[in-house]
Amino acid sequence: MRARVLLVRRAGAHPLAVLAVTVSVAMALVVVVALRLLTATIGDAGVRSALEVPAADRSLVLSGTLDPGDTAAVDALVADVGGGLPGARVTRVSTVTSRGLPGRAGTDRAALAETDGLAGAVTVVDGRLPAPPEGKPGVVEVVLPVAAADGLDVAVGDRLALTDLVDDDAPPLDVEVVGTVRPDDVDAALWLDLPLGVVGVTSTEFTTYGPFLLAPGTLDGGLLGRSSATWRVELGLTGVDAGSLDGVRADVAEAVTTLRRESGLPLVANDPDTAAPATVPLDGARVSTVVPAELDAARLVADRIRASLLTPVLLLALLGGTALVGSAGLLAGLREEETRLLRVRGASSTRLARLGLGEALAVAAVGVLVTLALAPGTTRAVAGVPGPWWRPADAVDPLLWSTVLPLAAGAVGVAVVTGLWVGRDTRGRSSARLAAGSGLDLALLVLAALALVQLRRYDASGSTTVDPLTGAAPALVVAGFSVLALRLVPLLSRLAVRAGTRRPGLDLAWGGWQLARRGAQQTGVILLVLLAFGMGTIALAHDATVTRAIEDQSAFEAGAPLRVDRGVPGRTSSTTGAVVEEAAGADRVVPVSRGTTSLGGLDGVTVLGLDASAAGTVLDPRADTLRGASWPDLAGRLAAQDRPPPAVPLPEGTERLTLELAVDSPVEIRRFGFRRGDGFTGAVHVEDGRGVVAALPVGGIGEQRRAVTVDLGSRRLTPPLAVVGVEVDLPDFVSALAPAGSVRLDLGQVTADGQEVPVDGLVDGTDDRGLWLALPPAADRPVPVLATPAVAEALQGEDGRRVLLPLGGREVPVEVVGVVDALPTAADPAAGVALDLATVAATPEAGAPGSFRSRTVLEPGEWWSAPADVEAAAAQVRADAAYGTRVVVRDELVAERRADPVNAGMRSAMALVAGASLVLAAVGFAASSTALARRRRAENGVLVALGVPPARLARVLEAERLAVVVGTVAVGLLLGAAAALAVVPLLAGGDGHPQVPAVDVVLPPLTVLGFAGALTLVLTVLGWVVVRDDRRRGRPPGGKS
Amino acid sequence: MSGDGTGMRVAVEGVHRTYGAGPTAVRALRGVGFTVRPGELVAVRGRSGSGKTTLLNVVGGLDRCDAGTVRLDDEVVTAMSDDDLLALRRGPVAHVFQSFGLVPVLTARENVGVPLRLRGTEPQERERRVGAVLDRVGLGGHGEHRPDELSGGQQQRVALARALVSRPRLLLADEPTGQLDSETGREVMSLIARLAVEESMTTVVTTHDPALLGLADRVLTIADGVVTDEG
Repeated sequence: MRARVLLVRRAGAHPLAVLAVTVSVAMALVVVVALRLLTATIGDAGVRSALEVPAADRSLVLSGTLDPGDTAAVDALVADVGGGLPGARVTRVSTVTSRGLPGRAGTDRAALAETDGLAGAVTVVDGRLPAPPEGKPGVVEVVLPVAAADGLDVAVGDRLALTDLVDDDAPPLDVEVVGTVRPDDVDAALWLDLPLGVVGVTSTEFTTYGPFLLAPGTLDGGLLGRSSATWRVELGLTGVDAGSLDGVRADVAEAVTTLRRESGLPLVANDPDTAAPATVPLDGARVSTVVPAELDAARLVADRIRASLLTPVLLLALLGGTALVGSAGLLAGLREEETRLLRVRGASSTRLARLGLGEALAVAAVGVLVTLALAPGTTRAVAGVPGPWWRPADAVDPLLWSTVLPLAAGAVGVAVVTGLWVGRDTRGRSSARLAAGSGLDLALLVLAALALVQLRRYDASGSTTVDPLTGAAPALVVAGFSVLALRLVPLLSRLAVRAGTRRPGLDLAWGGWQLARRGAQQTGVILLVLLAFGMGTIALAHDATVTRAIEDQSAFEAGAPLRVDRGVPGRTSSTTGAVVEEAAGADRVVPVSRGTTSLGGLDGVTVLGLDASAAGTVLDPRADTLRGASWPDLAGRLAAQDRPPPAVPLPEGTERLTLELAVDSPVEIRRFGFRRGDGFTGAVHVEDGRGVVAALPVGGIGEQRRAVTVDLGSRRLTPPLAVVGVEVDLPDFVSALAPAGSVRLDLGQVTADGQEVPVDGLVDGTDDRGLWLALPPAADRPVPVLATPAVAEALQGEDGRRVLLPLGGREVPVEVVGVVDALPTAADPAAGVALDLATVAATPEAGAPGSFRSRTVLEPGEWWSAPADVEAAAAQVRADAAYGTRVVVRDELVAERRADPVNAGMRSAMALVAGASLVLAAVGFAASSTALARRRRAENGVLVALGVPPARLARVLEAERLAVVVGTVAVGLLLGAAAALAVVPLLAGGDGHPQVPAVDVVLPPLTVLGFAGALTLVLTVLGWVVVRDDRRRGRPPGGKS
Repeated sequence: MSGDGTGMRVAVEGVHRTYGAGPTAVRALRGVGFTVRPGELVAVRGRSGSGKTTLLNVVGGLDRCDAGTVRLDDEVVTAMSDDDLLALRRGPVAHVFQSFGLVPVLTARENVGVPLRLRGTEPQERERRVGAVLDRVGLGGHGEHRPDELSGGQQQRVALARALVSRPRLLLADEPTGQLDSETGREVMSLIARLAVEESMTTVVTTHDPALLGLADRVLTIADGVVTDEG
């Protein structure tokens, strides 16, 4: 008989068993290949996600100074470099030295700038964009940001004469404001080099307005001398995927080298020998970029995703292999008689192996075709990638073929070896039992433990590569646990036999004997169920853990359900707090000041100043980060118990506060470098109803007493209000000109809406930094703080010495009243400290004689809230808040992260794994049950002859299968939990976001039990169907004579 | 019916049994009729395919006939329900098969104990009776051996012990020596004959070995589904 005909007839003889083998192979191939394709898809998404960084982090920057007329040469170099980089966009910003603003405070400055991208970066609010100076000789046209124009109180058409601050004899620069503009996108790369363009005004020691934006080419004309220029090559990285990452990395390195070489910088840092003469006329050139680091970080994300998905890939391959062994074993078992007959008729082992190989190749071919048809579409569906289920390009996908062919070859090998193995004398021991007996399980676990340790070290070191063995750690854990669990089988069987032997009936003893003495027939299915359950538990735990992690990390990033702050540098609008309180309810809002400080060896310590009275209900940090304490209790510890009463309370509803102020100096202020009429910058400190102190500017204060007015009504501060201090800043050089303590602040009448307010509560508190009227000195008590462990340790000091916390130029004594593992929004989660704004404001500087309370230390720039209806409150804030206000909604962050392709893809992949596990387990279980039932037919016939009802035998077999499933699932619960705890943290961190607070593995008990129940039910029903079917097909013994 | 006491009277009248239907139908029994007295050892001889096994299966309630009557004492087996037939096989009727019918994963002792477990015999009594019957078939020292550790003759002795342990009144042995060499076959047949006398049980043995027929009280000959000679 020809081999092909024999093959077809052999397959036709046992169609269901052949179908089981084919389904096992096809299912395993489809899912494993889909996972591999998904790995690539998610990896690309992860790379894109990792490269979604601010413009600053995807830019190459060249800066330096140059003479008028030299710009074009550098422009050409940068344009040439940018041409070789993906999606590169070049911007140039040139600036000149700031100029003075006559008629305003002596510390006011005007900044001038020119950019080639102005027209595409701003919207003209009023007027037009400037024209080059040749249009109007002697007058330079400029446009101003709206905020700067408002601050200077100038309008389109106004002219200003900007004085030269370096050369008193130089003529002023006459500029005409021809337009006001507003940035289209405050996050655009252009504003990184011209941040003043976003805010319009900045206040430090000087108040700078601008930029006065010149027409492109103005500076090249030589009117304003040398300029400083910054060329920024902003890369478009949205099209970069895992495959092109390394190429882009090389291109960027080449670009950096070119910029450094052409501008005369050494190619190797600090090695002048590697420098060549500059080819462009740029002095003090500097090249900077963090793009290579960003690309490396993206590579790490891609590698992590690949390593993470290696676990389900390996486990599914293992599961598929086990199912295949079961179904191929069934087929071979069914053919035992046939095989014997073939041998009798002269078929050699080689011939039989060739037959098995031919059949396996046919099955594998079917599996490959099914994979080709289903895997790409499945991948797209799972990854949420739009497109048809199948497209011709799928047929030539190299990744698909490079995955499916080795897998198919493996399947062929497993099928052939299983076919040859069945029937050999293994003395009732399956290969799995043999594996357990030989200590393979322990070896696997030792290997897994080593790999896990190594993997955690990789995590800690942030290494960009993960070797295959280490990546396989989670799979090894599950496999090791599964094989280890097989060691329980003989023990449980012996117990069952012992229990059955001591009873008079047959059923229990019969089941026990079968389990104990035919364990080999059970181990395959036990391994299958254990693997399926382990993977299912991991998938469920992964889903729950990622859900929880996303919520935790979003909560950490937002700080509260709704956070409102300024999205760009600069002062927050004075009314933002009122807008938030109106939208969310005053009692649901916490004003927050967020900044950083250094403490001993710790840099970048986040200082979170907040209103402790409301923080207990508005913030909700994760309980396990609080070290056993409750958050309301911890927040309650922050507020000082004895806040001083307000010194100068203002009548309720005060709209306008007027103070008569002057600087009393023995030396004419003019000698300090200011013209008559100029003065020093002053501010009145007003405490609101929360105890939070705000410094409200009152303009320049000079020698002449003058009334300054603060519009409290427009600021909408939380009542009741009180004046707690008045300050006037003094430049450092004043102390050199005037004797110490001789310059004083003179406060005259204070009126609130025209009604005089007594100011007896304020006393002189002038020091070398400024003139002060403040609340009287108070006891030197430390400020209660919550700190992360590292900060708490740093605050302990040596030998019990008190350590001071640097805050706002002061050193404040603090006392740690609680330790938390992480503080929300902290840049470095391990380095943070939280304190009460009002308590800090009411606490004098540590150890400084004559130190006074109620100086503003920390001013809130953010408002965190927990409104009843977050969505509505956020919408209201967005509608009412000032331009540039940022609204961060925790649930929106959650939604964004959930939709992140990496997170969504990983969750889909794990769901696919869980589903495929169930199907493969079901196929394997059905094959195993069929094989078992067939093997029992003969002896069941004997028992029927001895008087056992066939239905009872079927029930015993069903109960036996149920016991195996239930027992295995019970063990699987423990195994799954252990595996999930070991594996899930490694799977949950692949989206490139920092996992803060640390991932907390969530094992959803009801879901896992539900999965256990579903698995038990599915397998039990399958077992029932198979046993019933076999009983229907079976015949009594004896036969015809 | 009790499983203890004297042998059963077997009366078979006009039994027909056909397998399949239409032109391919096989008429295994065609109006078979005979009687076996209580305590009698009857051998049924005939060529392969003559209907011997079918006849024993119908008599023992393992198979149902299409027509005719089988009586065991006063009970009409052919009219019994499935449950009654099972009870019959658990009680007064025991079978011994050509292929021994032992459960390979059980020891000789466990195999022999199965019928007693089916009857709910207390473990202590069960073990006592199993030990005793193994001694009677000469396998007292082989109780812990599994079938694949025993010779063919020993396996058939275990099967015989399993049949006897429930003290049947009718033993139906289908070619009990069919897989044994002639010497061992004679030994097993002699054992059956001796035990049939000792237990006072009715015994029907099928065989086509003329050498063994001499041990029977009477020999029935069956050919093409019909009893041709009642000895």
